[in-house]
Amino acid sequence: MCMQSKLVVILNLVLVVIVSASSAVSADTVGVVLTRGPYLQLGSPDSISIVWRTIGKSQPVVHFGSDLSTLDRTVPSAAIVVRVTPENGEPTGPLSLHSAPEGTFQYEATIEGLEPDTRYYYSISDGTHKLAGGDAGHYFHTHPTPGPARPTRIWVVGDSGTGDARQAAVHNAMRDYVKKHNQPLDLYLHVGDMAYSKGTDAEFQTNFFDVYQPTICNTVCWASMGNHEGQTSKGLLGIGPYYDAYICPKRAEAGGLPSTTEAFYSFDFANIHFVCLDSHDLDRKPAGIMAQWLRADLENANTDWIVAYWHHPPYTKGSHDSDKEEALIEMRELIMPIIEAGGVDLVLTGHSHIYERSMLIDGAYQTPTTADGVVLDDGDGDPNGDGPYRKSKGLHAHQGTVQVVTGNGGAKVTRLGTSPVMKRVIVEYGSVLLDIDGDTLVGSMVNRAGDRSDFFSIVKQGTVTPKVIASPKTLPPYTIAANRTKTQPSEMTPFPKNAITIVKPNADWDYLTTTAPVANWTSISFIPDDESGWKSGTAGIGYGDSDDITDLNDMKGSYTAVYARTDFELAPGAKEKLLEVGLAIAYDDGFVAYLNGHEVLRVGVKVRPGGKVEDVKSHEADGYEYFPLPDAIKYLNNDENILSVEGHNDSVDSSDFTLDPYLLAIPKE
Amino acid sequence: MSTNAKPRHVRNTVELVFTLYLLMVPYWSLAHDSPATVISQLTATMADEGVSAELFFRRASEFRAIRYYQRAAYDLTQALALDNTMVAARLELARLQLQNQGNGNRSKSDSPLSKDPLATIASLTTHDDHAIRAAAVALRGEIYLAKQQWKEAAADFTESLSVEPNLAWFLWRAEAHMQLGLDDEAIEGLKIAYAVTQSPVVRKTLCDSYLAVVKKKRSDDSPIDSLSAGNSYLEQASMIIEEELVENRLKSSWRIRSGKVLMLRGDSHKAHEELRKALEELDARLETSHPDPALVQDRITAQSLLAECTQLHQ
Repeated sequence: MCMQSKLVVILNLVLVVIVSASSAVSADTVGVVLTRGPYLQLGSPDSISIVWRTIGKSQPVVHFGSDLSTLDRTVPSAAIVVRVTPENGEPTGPLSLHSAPEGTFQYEATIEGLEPDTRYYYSISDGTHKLAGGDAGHYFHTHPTPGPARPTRIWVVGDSGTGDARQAAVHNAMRDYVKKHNQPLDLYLHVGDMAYSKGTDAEFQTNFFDVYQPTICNTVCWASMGNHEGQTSKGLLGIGPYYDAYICPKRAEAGGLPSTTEAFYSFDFANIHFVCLDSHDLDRKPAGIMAQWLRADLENANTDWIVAYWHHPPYTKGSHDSDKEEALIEMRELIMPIIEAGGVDLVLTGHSHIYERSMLIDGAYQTPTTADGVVLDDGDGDPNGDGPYRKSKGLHAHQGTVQVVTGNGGAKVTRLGTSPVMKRVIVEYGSVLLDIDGDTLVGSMVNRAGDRSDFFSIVKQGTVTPKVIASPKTLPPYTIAANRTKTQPSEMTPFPKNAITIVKPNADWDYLTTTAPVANWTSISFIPDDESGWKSGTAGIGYGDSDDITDLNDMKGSYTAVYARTDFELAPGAKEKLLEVGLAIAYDDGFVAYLNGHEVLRVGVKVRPGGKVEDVKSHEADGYEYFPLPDAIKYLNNDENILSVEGHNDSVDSSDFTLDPYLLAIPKE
Repeated sequence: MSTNAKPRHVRNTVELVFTLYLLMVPYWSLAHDSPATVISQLTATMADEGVSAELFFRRASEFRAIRYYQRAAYDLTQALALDNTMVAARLELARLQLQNQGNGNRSKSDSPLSKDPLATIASLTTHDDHAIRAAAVALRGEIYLAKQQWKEAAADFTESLSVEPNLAWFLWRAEAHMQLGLDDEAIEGLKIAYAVTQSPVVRKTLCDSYLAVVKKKRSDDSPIDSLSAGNSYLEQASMIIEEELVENRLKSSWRIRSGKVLMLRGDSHKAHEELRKALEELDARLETSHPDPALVQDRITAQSLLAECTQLHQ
């Protein structure tokens, strides 16, 4: 730690004492309810913060120790900062919570003087009763001393804050994967959008803390702010629910250089330097403070690896386009030159609801992005495939960076196209696990079914002279059958004039062919996975007549049924504002539709669903037809919903098949 | 437990500052979907439900996100036409106009983008609300800075800093002071900023300011006490540089500064050596067809100083 940092730590200690003295703790605990946490923040080799909230006053006490059976050390009350929700008319100040529920007390206990790379167990109490901890799940592991290598596992997730089953599935899949491979997490990086839709305090509670509690009670989440949190939190000042939730380094408390703000910061862990930027609401220009700090911080870093992360991706064609949006363009054109001149190895981002992973690239700053002259290794980076990407040992400028967009942590995944620098584009929910051990970094995208969908590695050994690949092998362009006949509304069934679209035409669907699905395939809890044969595609799904986007060229002569499902969200209170829900569908020949597991419509198909259907009536798809679903509103959730449709061909030898649905609703007003 | 009640003025200041920052930052696109999709949705809403200042403002934000600045400025003008008191729209329009001026004012003369941002925010700089007034004054300071009206810029940042110790305002005020020849004021302001923030950005700027002032004093026909102050500045710059050279992995920018110190001390031989080492490191980092422009600038500086050293040798 440099001299200025030591000075800052001393000043901080003085501040904590002053603050705690002014927040004198009394023992009059009344009706205390634990409402958040406990969770970990701001770890370092010799310190950690434990944060929790209660409704109602309490005497905050933290016991800890390296032996679970003997939590014999207590955090001094002077080291526990208390922040509160101001009551009506009460003054607010630096220790106020921005918008927490009335009567909320947030406790931030900072434990110092710890041994590096050591596991401690902890419990919290209200002075009389234990609130949480004192078990094998509540522990913290201090950072190792910066510099020497040691195996490190990092979980990276983005755009997760829906609070629904998809987010939970991604989280559970990661936990199962970690358990199966018997290496616990050391760090958790969140690349933003962790509390849809506005990053309010309540949304943080339900969409972040409630979901991730089993992980964040023993692993520090190092956060970067997304645009959705940006609605209620502001990077320039560090005020809002986001800044209430996280304690990020401002003064190099865990390594790096002081940023003076929690909006961007850096820290060290073993032989890795991490840099977090605010791509949302701060100046991204080279002369701006963030860029100047970044340059200084990277010039100061002296580890084996540098990993940078922020929200807006420099390269993406997922739900966002990095060639068209200002924040994304500026991160590429203005920030990436500093990143690559500083020797960064890996850039992690979100925002775009998809998983994309690049080749080893350098200098791809132009708009639009091109692969010409910027690819140093066009292989897949898979140790079992083309082999790992290779760089020289240590930190070197312009030896190549791998870009990972992991905005697939919960919000609906979508694809617009293919960024030319990407090697993997995967439209499925999941998150990334990074394992760094000495000179080797391994990245795995674990999907929500718990399978590894992508696997890449970077190895830094000896001296490697980077060479630009003249004609890199890039992915084929993404097309959605641009030459197909565009489907129009049919004149046979009148469409309501004031309808709003809930599921868009040509949305992405999960679909299954050739085999029958399990019984609960239409329910929210079901997770389609690759192993069971589920694929993703854009509606319409079918063959023949040139009216489909996802072409089933193996259907004719082989099978007659296709099962498709897609998810959609309704905002709180939205269901109550609807008068009617209706299905618009182009179909050939018959179908059965379900909402959240309930059958709501059957057309051209007699009794029984799935492979047991009988008497499929022939029908040509001639535009979208509208079918009101009179009783369907009661099945909707003001949250995640699943629309499922099974399509049936009348004959295995039919010349065509089409399944192309979308969902409409008529508002009451 | 008790959390001591804060004095009323604390609440006022915090609230003021939060409002101030809400107004200071550009309103970025916030939607889930791509901006193009949201623009379509907002346009459809306008067609179905009629226009409003809020809808124009939201659409302007999306246009800005995809760099359609003309359309964004047009929508902001429409928003203000419907609601002349919409502060966020007025500030946003002024920011776009300032940015347009920085880009050489390439828009048509009748475009709202080409209008003077000072005129756009004039009414806000005397606004009754303290926070709105402070945000407008800070933005006016930026506009003056861009217009090289240093005195007015410095005054505005001083006023803004009385509300909030913002790092950018410290740096901009120092720049204005330096341009006005108020060197000691610039350095004092930066020292305060560094004491408050410990920011490496301020530290670097402070060091550069020390060196710039010393160079100016040496080249001027300055009185002896002024030269003495210059020596003190040189020592302080030297201390910073030595510490940074020890701390940093990449040292070229600090070696260049070290070369400047040595040249000011008349040791062109050692300066030459430092600059040569700086160039070695820069050459390695610039071995790419896509260099960081700041490093290219450093290289130009190092080469120029090296040429100066060589001349002094001869």
